[in-house]
Amino acid sequence: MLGLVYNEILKVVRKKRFYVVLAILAVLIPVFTYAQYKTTVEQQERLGTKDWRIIVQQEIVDLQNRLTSARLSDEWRRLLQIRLQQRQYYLEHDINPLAPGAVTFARVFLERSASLFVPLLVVVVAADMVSGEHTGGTIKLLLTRPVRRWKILLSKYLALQLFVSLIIAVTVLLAYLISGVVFGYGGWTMPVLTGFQVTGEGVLTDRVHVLPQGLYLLMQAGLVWYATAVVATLSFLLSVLLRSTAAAMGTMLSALIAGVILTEMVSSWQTAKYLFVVNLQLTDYLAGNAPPIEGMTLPFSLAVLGVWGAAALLAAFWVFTRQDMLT
Amino acid sequence: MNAGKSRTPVLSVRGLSKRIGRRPLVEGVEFDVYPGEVFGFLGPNGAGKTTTIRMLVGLIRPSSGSVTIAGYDVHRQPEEALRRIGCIVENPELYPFLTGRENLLHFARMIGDVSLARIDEVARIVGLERRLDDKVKTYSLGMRQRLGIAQALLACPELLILDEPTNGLDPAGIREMRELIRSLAAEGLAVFVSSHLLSEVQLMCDRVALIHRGRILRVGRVDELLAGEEGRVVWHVDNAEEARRVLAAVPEVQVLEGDEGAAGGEQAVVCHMPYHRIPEANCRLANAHVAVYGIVRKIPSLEEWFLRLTEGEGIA
Amino acid sequence: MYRPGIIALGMVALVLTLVWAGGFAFAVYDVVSAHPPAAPPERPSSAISPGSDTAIRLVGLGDSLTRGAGDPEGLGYLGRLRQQVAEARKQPVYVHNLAVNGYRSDQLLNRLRTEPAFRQTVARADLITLSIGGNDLRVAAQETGVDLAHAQRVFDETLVRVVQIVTELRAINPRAPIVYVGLYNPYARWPEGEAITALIERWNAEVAARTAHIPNVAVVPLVDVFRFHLDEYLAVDRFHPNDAGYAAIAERLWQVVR
Repeated sequence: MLGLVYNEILKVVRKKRFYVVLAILAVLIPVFTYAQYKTTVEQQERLGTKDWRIIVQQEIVDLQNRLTSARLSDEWRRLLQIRLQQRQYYLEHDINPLAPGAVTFARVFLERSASLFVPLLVVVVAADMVSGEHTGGTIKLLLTRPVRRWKILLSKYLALQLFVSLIIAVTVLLAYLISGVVFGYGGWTMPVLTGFQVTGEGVLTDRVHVLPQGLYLLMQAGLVWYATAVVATLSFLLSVLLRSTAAAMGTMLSALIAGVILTEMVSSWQTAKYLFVVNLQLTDYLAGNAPPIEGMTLPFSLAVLGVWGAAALLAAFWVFTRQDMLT
Repeated sequence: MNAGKSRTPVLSVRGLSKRIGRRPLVEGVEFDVYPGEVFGFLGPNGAGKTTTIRMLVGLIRPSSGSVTIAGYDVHRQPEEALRRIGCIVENPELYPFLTGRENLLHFARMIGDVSLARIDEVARIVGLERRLDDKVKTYSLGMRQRLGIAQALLACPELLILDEPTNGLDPAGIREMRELIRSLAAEGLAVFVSSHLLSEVQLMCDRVALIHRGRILRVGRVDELLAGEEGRVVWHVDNAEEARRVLAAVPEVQVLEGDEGAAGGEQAVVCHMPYHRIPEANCRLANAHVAVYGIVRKIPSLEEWFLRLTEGEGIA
Repeated sequence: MYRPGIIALGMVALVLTLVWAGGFAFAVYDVVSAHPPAAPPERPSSAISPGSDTAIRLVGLGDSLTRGAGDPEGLGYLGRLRQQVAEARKQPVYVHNLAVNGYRSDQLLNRLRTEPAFRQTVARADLITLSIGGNDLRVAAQETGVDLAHAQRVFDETLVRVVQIVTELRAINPRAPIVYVGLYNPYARWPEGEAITALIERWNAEVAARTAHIPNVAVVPLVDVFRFHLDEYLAVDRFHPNDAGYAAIAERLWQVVR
């Protein structure tokens, strides 16, 4: 089995799929770093201060003013309200939610990438795992070796999950290393607040507690890992079913992007909470952001994702061990 | 040529059928392949050769029937059965982004107990040792074909299954491939070769199965199958008109229309006749003062032969 | 048969998988666990650090007038004043607009007393502009209609709070000039327009009188500015000033503070 997993890792590496992922990150992270840098500088210039308290204060006042607008949808009003209350809590406890630094950048970058960007990177590798063998015709050689089909598929799946872990690590690492050039490499022990409980009306703060940012980043990466592993499993199923890398990738990308759009719109469509795409932003539960649909909780999202992942894995094995390789 | 008569078959196919929906692709295919022989699997394109081969190696599950390799059923005990097979199905598609050696290592890891020395050995057998560390995407088709055979040989199989192994090769490559296959069989390997070219099978194979429209028409030694088969004979003469008249008078000779192979100042007459009548016919032409420049025995084309084989059965 | 590079990659990935799984478990435990955290974060003492640079800071407090509601350019009088100060002084000028649409005097006073960052911004100001009280009076007028006794009570209470606000500002920042931006009358054309104008004049005068003892405070009435220019200066809501109105206010303030 180890030999088989080794084979699959070797193929992904030599096929340069993983390098594509690295290249995408290496290009995009500097862009985001620069954008973040410009925003920070612009804010400091406009307010004439580097004192984060004053910047957060201004942000609070701006939020309050947006809340006075009569044209706000209830959903948006609630989001602003939650954000406002969190900002006030940070300010009251003299904790800077935006302290610049490579760790903060990595934390924010990972959080924003959790439901689309990191899954996209994983799809690049996952969609090719099985369909790539069909496209190249090598599936015939692979399946005529004295190895049972389920073992071949399992080795591919394990290799894929190893790459999921690598991709998340590389995302965090590159975000840290690249942004550190601009923001400095500190911030591991900076306090971050967690434990905000989002309720119908606002935020409960009685269970709010402080975590060092390094630990918070680790926890966040753990949640992203879980969601991404499920996305990888679904792409893996498509890779088995569609036999074409482009088709598998296209299908999965559309699903993910549709998910992002849906997440913005579905607040009143209750059933949508059983779609996997709506549950990908697990970091919301850690940060205390409002979930896309009221009443969603972390255990609920984990269960939904788990069921989707398990079903996809079973289907992938069921199809792969039975299908005729006619072409 | 006489190997395998007494021994147990390496490959035994019984009642093999595959239907997709209600459409039969392959019906009741049966044959045996013995150690040390080159077994041809002959049929025109679309006859069901590839479907049958895919069932032999476990890529397609048969609707009914069985494939047994050295006593193991391919679909019930795939690991034991496939361990004894080396195969190339259709084109020799290997990983183009890996080197030849890495490809061999890749499949060696799947088989399990293959030594590094064995990799050099199979590379030497197929004559690829000097290019083994180049990427496969730089290989010519012939080299890929040879690398495909090298990987098929890795596990020291008892049976080699090759699908159209000379497809796309130049004449020199075809001859090399033929020699390689014969030498492998000489070492005791059973080799199953599919082809749509009768001439190729004639040169390479000991026995042959003919498949047409999903059914086996004949199984037997190539020379036996072709014996009794009226061959076409082309007479290159100076006076075709006179020759036709003379030849038509010879018993068992049927003169055909056309002047296949005529060149230069010569004329040609084509006829169907048993070869044992050639001396007599030649003698009569000489007596009639027809100058004979050449007598060519032509094997029938596969299509013609198949047409005649199937005519009586009412399939065509 | 195996390359060390690929094996190392696999091992690293395996270790990372365990690390992420650990982080995952930690995160789930932290979110789901029912136990309240041992110690909620402490409220820090709010040390106010004085501004250290040479820039000029304008701080605006109060309601939608200071916020700039109705200005299509979004500058408000504060943004326009900033331009004038910057041109005159050739120094960087920063604006902290802490005004909130619809703010009443009790809300502002409460905030000024409790929020350290709010206080800190005020402490570092070089000029403070303030517009407050209008919403208190308007809400009272809409609620009570003809109950003049109640209206008078609101008038008096609001006046007291405005004075308290100015006093508080002075305490936080002893040196910056405080400009109270007086009320104007957007309803001058109404049948009751003249009565409302009289009320607003009285309000502006009362604020001026009650803050006269506090040093460095100016009350700038706007009734006269808008008196003959309602059509020109009012935004489409017929209540807030438009860009021209804000420009006029900024001009008036500039005359006072330059």
